[in-house]
Amino acid sequence: MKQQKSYNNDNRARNPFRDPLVTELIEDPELYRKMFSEKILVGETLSAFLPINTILIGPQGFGKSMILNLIRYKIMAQWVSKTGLPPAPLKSVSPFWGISVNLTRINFQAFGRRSISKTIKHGQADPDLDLTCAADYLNHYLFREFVKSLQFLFSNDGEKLRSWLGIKIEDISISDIVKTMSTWRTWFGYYDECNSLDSIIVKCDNRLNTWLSFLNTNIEEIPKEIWETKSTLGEPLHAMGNLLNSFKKSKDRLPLFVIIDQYEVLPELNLTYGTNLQRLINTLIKARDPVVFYKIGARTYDWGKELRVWGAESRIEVQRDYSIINLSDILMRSEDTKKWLFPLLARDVAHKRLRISNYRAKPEALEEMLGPWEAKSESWWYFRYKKNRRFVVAEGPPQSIVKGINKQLAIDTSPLDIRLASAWALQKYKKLWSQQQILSQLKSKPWYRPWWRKERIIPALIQIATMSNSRKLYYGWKTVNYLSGGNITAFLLIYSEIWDMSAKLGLHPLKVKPLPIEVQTEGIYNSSEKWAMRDRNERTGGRKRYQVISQLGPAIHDAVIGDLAISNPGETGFSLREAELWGDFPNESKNRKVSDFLEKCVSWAYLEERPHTSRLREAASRRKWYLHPILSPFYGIPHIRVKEPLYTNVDQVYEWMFGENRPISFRKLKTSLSPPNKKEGFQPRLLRD
Amino acid sequence: MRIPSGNLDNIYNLFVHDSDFVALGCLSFEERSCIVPQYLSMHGIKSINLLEIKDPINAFPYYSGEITARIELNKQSLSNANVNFKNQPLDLLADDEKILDILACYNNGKRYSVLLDITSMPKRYFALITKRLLRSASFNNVIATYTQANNYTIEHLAEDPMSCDYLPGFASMLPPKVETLVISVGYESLGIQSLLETCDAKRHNIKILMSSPYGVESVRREWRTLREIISGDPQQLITRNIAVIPLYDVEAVYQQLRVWYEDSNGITLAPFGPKTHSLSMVRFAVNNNCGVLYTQPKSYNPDYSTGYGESWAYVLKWDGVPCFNRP
Repeated sequence: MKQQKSYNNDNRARNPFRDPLVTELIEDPELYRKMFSEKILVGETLSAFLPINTILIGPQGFGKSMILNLIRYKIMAQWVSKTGLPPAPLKSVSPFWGISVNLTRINFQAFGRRSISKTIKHGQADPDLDLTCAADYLNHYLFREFVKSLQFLFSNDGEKLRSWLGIKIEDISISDIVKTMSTWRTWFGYYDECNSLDSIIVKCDNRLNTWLSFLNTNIEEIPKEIWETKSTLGEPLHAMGNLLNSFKKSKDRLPLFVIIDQYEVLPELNLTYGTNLQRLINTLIKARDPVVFYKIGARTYDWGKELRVWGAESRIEVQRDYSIINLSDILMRSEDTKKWLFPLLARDVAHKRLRISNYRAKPEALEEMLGPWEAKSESWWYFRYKKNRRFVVAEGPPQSIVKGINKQLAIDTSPLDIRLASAWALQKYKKLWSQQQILSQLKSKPWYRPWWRKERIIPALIQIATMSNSRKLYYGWKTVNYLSGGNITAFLLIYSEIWDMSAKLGLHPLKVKPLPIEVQTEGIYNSSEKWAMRDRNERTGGRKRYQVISQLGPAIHDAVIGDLAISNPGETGFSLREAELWGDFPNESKNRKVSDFLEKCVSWAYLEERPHTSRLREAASRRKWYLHPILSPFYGIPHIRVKEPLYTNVDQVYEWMFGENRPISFRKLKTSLSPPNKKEGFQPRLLRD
Repeated sequence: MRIPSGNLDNIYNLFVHDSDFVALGCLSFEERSCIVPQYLSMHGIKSINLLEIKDPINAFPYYSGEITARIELNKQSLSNANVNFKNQPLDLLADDEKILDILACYNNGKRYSVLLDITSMPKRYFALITKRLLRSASFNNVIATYTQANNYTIEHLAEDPMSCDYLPGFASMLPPKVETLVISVGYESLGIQSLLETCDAKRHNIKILMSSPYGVESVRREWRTLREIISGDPQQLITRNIAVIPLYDVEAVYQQLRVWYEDSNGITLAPFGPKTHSLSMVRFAVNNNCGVLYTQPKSYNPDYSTGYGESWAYVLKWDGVPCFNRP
C-alpha cells in the first residue's frame, strides 16, 4: 500500500465522528439541534411526543436519550426560535411542555440508604416513611423544574415558544400564577409566603437541600417545617398540569411531559430500596393523569423487572397504562433490507457531524468515503500478489475431487468461487455422492444458486482469509452499516476510527475516494476492539460479559473455520426456546441466570437478539442471539447473519457462561433438544460431537 | 502548612505520644494493611478496630476464596505480633447507615482521639468516616495514616465497576451548576466514561490530578487512564487543566483544588487516584460541600499490591478544629 508518511494533524484533530459526551449534546440546545437527526428518528417514534405515558427501550447507544431530549422545553425552544416551528415530523403533533429529571444526578437513589424514618422513630426503620420522603423530594424537584420553565416561558426568549404553544402573555398574570402555585393545598402552606417565581425557587432549593443534607449526614434531623408539610406523590404534578392548561384560552389541551432519566440504575445503586424507588415512579404512571405524561428511556431489558406500584401488588400494564417504543424494532436490520431505516439515519447523523466540524461535503460523501464492497473483489485481494496461490482455498474434499474442481473451473475463477465450489463438493462427498456425480454436477455451477450462495459468502471469505494467512478485510459503506447493527454509537465509532487511521497516514478522508481497503480495515478492527474493551472496563457487569464472549467468539470462529463444507452457515449464533428462559423460574435456577445474563448482554449491545421461527416441529417460540456485529472483526466471525442458528438448550448455554469447561465448544448437541421430563426426573445428557 | 504530615513515626511522636487514641483501620488481603496496626500496638494503642470488608457475591471475578485465605494469613500475622484487635465484618456495598454505625459506639458524650488507617479501606467507607470524624464534636483529634505498597500488580487492580454514584455523604447540593469536574487519575479508568455522562461537566471543564508515581510502568498506566478519559483525543487535553502533584502531598492537592474551586462556578470531585489524593479531596469536599462521584468497583484483585513501604500520617483535626480551618 502506498502510504503517505506526512501526518495530517488538522484532520485528526477535527475528527467529526469522535464521540462527544452525551451530556454535552443533551445540555447544549444549539449543538443538539445541529446534531440531532430529527427527520428520521422523530417520525419513527412519534408516540413519544403524544400525550401518553411512553417507555422508549433499546440497547445502549441506540439514541434513546437523544430522542427524549427533544421533549425538553429548552430544546424545543431552540428549534422554535430558529424557524418558529418544531421539527418537521412534529408539525402535526399538538404542542406540549416538557420538563425532566435525572434521578442519579439529584441523588434520588440515596433515599433509604440513610434512613430518615429511623431518626424519626428512634431507631425503628419504616421503609414506607422513607419512600414518602423520597416522593416529597421528587415532587418538589419537579416543581422546581416547572417553575424554572415558567420563568423561561414568560421571558423574552420564550416568545416564539409561547406562540407555538398558543399562549398569549397578555392573558397571563405572573403574580396570580405565583399566588395560585404557592397556595396549592398539596404544599400544606410551605410556599405561603412566596410572592415571586424566584422566591418559590429559593424556598424549593432550601427544602431539597435539607433532604440532601440529611442524606449527606450534614444534619441529624429534618426540620418540622418540612417534616409536617410532606406532599403526596403525583398530586403537585397534577396541579402543574392543570395550571399549564389554564394558560390557553382555547379548548386545546397543553399536556405536561416529564422525562425521567436513570430509572434503570436505581436497584443497582440502592440495594435495599432501589426497586421501591422504582415503584414510586411506576405509581406515577399508574395514575394515568389526564394532564401529565411520563417519558422514560431504558435499556432493552432494564424495563419490566419491577412493574409493581408503591404500596400494592398491582402492576402497571403496557397499552393500558403506558406504551412501549422499541428502537431495536425500528433500527435493526430486518430480512427486507430495502426498508432498513438505519443507513438513512446513519448518513444523516454523520453528515451533520461533518458540517458542524466545518467540512463541506454532500451526504453522499460518507458513502463515497468507504465505497462499495463486493465479495469476489475481496476474495481476490487476499491473493493480489500471488494469484496462482488461490487454489489453496479448494482445500477440504479429497485431492482427486480438488483436482477435478480445479480442472473444471475457468482460468480466471475467483478465490470465492473456488472456495464455494469446494464447499459444495465437500457437502456432497459427505452425503456419499460418488466422485463422478460430484464432478459432473459441478459443470452446472451449483454454488451459484442464489440462496445457497448468499448464505455462504461471508463464512467463505473468513475461510479464505485464514487460508491465505491474512486478516479478514472489512470495507465499504454497506459493510459498515451491517457492522453497526442499527446502533448509531457503533456506526460513529467505526467512522471515527477510520477517519483517525486515514488522517494518521496523511490521507484526507473526504478527498481520497474511496479510502484504501487496508485503512478501512484497520479502522474497523480498532473500533471492534474498542467496543469489546469499553464494555469490559467501563460498564457494570462488563467484565463477566467479556469473559463469556471472549470464549464464545473464538469458539464460533473455530466452528466457522472448521466447517469447510459450510454446511451450517447460520450457526454463528444460537437459539433457545423462550419457555426455557422466561418461565417462572427461581432466582438461582440455570434458566434465570442464563436469561439474566443474555438480557444484560442485549441491553449493553454486546449481543443482538431476534425472534425466529423454529425449523423443528415444535409449537414453542424461539429466540436467537448473535454477537453484536461490531464485535465480529475482533473475534473473526461473520457479521451478516443467515437463517438457521445453532439450536441449543439452557444447559449448554449455562455451561458456556458459568461452566468450568474451557475452552468451550460451539457445536450441536447430540441429544434431543426437548426439555427434561420433570415427572421422570429425566436430565438430557450433554454429549458433544 | 495547614495539615501537619510526615512519616508515621514523626507524627506519632509529635502528636500521639502518650495520649489515649483509638485506632480504626481495615484488615484486608493486602500485607500492608497490617503495618499500621502492628506499629500502633507496639506503641501501646490498646483499642484497635479493624473492618473486614467483603466483596458482593455478584462481583466478577469473585475472589472470595483467595481473599479469605489471605485475610486469615494477615490475622495470623497480627496475632503473632501480639496485636490485640477487634474485627468487624462488613459488606463492601453496605448502606450509609451501616457505615455510620461503625462510629455509633463513640457517640456517648465523651471526646475521642482517632487514628484512621485508610491504607486498605474502600473509598466509600473512609470518605464517610472521615467526614463524620471531622464534623462530629465527639472526635477531638483525628490523624489519618497510610502505608504505601512496595509494588502493584500489572493486572487490573479492581474491576467490575458499578454505575456512577455519589460517595455516601457526598451528593452535590442544589441548584445544579455548570460544573468543573476534577478527576484524580489512577491506574484504572473504572467507568470514568459513565462518570462523564452522569456529571454535567463539559470536557473543557475537566481538571486532572495526576500523582507522578514511582516507576515507568506506573507512569505509563496513569497516562493510559488519562488517554481513556479524553477518548484518545489530544485536543481535549489542555495543559493548564492538569496538575501533577506528588503522591503523598495531601496539602498541595488541597491547595490546587482551592485554586480550581475559586475559578469555577461549582466543583465536583472524582477520586480515582491514589488514596492520599482521595483523602485530600474528601477533606476539601467536607469543607466546601462538594459532590464526590465514584464508580465503585465490586471486585478487587487479591494480588492488588505486594509488600509495603513507608507509612505516612496526616493530622486532619486537632483540638476539635479541622485542620483546613486552622488559621
